[in-house]
Amino acid sequence: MSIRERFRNTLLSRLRRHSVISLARLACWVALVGLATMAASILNPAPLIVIFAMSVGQVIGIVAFLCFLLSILVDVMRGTDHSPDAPGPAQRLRESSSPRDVADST
Amino acid sequence: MPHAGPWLGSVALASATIAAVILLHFLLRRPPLDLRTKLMLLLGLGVFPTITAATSTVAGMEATTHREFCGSCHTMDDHFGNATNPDAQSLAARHTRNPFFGEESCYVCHADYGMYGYALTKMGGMKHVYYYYLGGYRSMTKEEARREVHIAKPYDNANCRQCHTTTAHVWRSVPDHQASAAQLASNRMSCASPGCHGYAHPFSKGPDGLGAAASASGHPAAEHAP
Repeated sequence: MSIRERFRNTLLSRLRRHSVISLARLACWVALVGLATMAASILNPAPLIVIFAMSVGQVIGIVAFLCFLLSILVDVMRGTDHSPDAPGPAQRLRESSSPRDVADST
Repeated sequence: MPHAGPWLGSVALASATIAAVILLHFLLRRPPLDLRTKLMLLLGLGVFPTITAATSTVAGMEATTHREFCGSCHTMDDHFGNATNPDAQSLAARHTRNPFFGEESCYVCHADYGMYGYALTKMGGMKHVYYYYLGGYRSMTKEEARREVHIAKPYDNANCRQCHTTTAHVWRSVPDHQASAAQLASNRMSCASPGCHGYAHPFSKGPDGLGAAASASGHPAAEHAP
C-alpha cells in the first residue's frame, strides 16, 4: 500500500469515525447562530434585523437541522464502525478493538 | 403587537432559550451520543428552533406593521413626526389619532386589501428596503427625501372605503360625492386630492403640490402622489 493510499484510508477512517460527533457539534453551533439571529429580531425589530432573521436566520436553522439529520444518517449507515462514544453494543465492540482506536475516539 | 400580542415574542424567546440550553449542554458537557442525547438534540435542533422560527416570523411580520418600524428610516421622519404630532391636522395625523388605527396607522392606510394583499404589501415593503439600502435613499438628506421619495403608485380609494363605505346616507348626501362617485370608484380621482380630503401628508408635496420634482427625477418609486 502506497503512502498516498495509506494516508487516504487513514483520513477516510478518521472522517467516518468522527463525522457524527463533528456534524452534531457543527449543527449545534450553526443552530445557535440562527437562534441568536431570530432572538435579536424579537428584541430589536429594526428593518434589516427582522428581514435577516426571517430569511437568512431561517436558512441557517434549516442548515443546522440538515447537519443533524446527516449526522444521524451517517451514524446509521456506517454500521459497526460506530461513533467514538456510542454506548451499548458499540461500546463493547470498541473495547474489543485496538486500544489505539479507543484513544483516537476520545 | 396588537394582533399577535407580546406573548408571541415571549414564546419565541423562551423556545430559543430552551434550545440554546440544550445545545450548549451538548457542546460544553459533551455527553455520549446515545439515544437520549439524540432525542435531546432533536428537541434542541428541530422542535424548539421550529417554534422559534414560526413565532419570530409572525412576531416579525407584526413588527413590520408598526408605525415605529415605518418611521425607523430617516426618510420617513417627517411623515412619522407629522402623523404623531397631536396638534397636526393632516389627514394622516387625524387618522393616527383614531384608536382604530392605533400603532399601525401607516400600515392600515397603505396596506393592499386585495386577496393577496398581505403578501403584496410585504413585497412592496421589501422594495422600500431595497431603495433605502441600495437605491440611494439612505444617503439622502431629509430635504432630498421630501422632494424625491413619493408613493410608488396612485393611492387606491378602496383603502379609504375599508371604513368610509361611500354607501351611507351622509356620504351620498354630499353633492361633491354624488358628482364624483364614478371617478372615485374607478380611482380616477383620489379621496385625498387637494380640495377634497387631502393631501394626507401635505408637507411632502412639492411647490406645485403634485410631486413633480419626483416624477422628473425618473426614480422608479417616484411616479405620482395622490
